[in-house]
Amino acid sequence: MVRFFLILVLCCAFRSVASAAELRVSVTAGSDEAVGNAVISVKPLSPNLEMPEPVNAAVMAQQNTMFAPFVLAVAVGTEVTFPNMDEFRHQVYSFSKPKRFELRLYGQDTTNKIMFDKPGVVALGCNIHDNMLAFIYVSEHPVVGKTDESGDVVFSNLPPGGYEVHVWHPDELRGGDDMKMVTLRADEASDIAFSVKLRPVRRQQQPPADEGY
Amino acid sequence: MKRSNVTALALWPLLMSGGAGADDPFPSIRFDFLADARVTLADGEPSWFKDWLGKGRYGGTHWAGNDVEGLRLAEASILAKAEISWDLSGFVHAKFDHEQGKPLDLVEAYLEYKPAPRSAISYEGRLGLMFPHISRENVGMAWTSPYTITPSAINSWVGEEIRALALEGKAKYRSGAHSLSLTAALFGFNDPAGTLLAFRGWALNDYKVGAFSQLPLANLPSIGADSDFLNKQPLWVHPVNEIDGRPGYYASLDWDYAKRLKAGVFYYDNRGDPEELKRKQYGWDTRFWNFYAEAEPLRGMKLISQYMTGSTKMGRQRYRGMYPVDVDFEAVFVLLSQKFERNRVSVRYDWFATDDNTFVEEDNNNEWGHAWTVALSREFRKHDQLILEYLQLDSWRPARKTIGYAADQEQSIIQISYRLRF
Ligand SMILES: [Cu+2]
Repeated sequence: MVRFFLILVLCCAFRSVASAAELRVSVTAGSDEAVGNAVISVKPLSPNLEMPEPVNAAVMAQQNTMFAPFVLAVAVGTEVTFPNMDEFRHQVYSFSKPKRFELRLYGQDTTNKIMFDKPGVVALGCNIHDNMLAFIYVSEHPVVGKTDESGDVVFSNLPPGGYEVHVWHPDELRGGDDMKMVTLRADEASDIAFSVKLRPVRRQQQPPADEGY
Repeated sequence: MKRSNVTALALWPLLMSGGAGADDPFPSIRFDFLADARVTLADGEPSWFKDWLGKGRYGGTHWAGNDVEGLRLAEASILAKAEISWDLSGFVHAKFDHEQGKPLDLVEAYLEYKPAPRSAISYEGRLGLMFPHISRENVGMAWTSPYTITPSAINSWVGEEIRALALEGKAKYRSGAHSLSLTAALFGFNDPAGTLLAFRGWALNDYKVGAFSQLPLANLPSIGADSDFLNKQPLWVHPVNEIDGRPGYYASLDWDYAKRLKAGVFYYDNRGDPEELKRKQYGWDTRFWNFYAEAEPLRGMKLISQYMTGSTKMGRQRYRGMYPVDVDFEAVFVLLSQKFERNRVSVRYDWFATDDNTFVEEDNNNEWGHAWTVALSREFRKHDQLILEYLQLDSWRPARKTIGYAADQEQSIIQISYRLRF
């Protein structure tokens, strides 16, 4: 009986550690431009795969008259906290379909929470500071991440199996890579490279104009 | 962007008509100050500001030519922004300038209603005394330009003569990175606008008129009490004034792409009655178009261009329906500015002209000219700015001959400005 349990425990340990697969995604545009802030979402083809617990809390801060981060990737059902790190007010709004709201952040340490329960892209603005701009990508897929400055993102601890891998970027044009299929094998790392098409003029969150009143 | 929030205890009973929670921070008032210390070195003809026809705020002296002025205060501005609620705010800009008609005067004072957008189309409005949004340069605090000391000819004139006591509404449509705004306003108290442009022509100077102040005109033979052409036109203009009781209007359409490409068109008509004369001022029928394009091709780089074209008419119609003053005006500039951390380099080319359609023999208001402006600036402390500017003006105006100057004038003005903010 003890031996049986030991085997069971070992099996479980083996399954959750040793058989995890790694997915490495890189996103480029044009001739080899690394694309940061691209959202990668991963959807298992089989519903039986035991996916890692989704992260259901995230933070979109208001700091130095900017949103941070510029792009936030979350799964549906995530509650996003909006802390105001500035000493002054922000009036954060979205009129995007997945979530319309207005948050009145009075000053330092005022915090509000919004639950994102529908998939889609939520563009954020601030009614007081015109320079402020950010995006929350709400994915219907359980695993989401975004690329770093060098255009890379790594998902470890995915169960082996078949997946759809999707890419999204705020300045994406049609005609580039959109989705790729991949089969992840236990203890192996797989690479996917997306080549997307981006607008020549990119949206960015400018720092506040110091000259402006 | 100083943000010292001072809760206005004095205004509390005035603005809060009950219903506010204890932790409600409204209303609050924020004060900002700007002082502009200036050193100037100028040659050429004396300034219009000293009752001549020179195009700079400063110029040579009438007798000696070159003029050097040590430290002077070009302006001191106080700005107050009262936040009354999340959607409603009040703004007041008052300016002290010892050369101003009224040393302490009001530049702008308005209420702004701007709720957060709830859909792709949002609305906002302003009510009060304001600058219509014409200038693409004067985007800094207290209507200063972050690029140069002296605005372009177009925006110099806007600062001198354009101000509206207006009810302004704006609808903005946002779609992805694009936004399109339609602004429309009804306004009054700007009937004498056009006077300077006709009798003085274009100028390049950073003087913005206060609502209660007058600006001087040169002692031309065609105007003033001794004149046999327009003896009811005094040697000054008070631009912020209602003469004919007829409201004017302006409207604009602005396009913005990712805040890096901007273009727009603006139309103004004060619907002035040229024959109306009140408080020694005529109602000038002034209308103009302003077009602009603005781009940020590289990070920290700005390319701005404006083109203005319009006309102004004044006086009792004489034979064949001709107005004593009937002048078309036109100007354009291109500005390129690059910011390197706390430093900025700006170069601007201005071209300007006026075309007098009537009575040129008696009152010649023709002119043309161009100007180069080069400015270097550096930020100090938090948002102080030290600017060194070289302005070279070259213009032709036959009316100069009537006051003892040659029609062709060349002029260089060097200015150093320290803008202190607190
Ligand atoms: Cu804000």
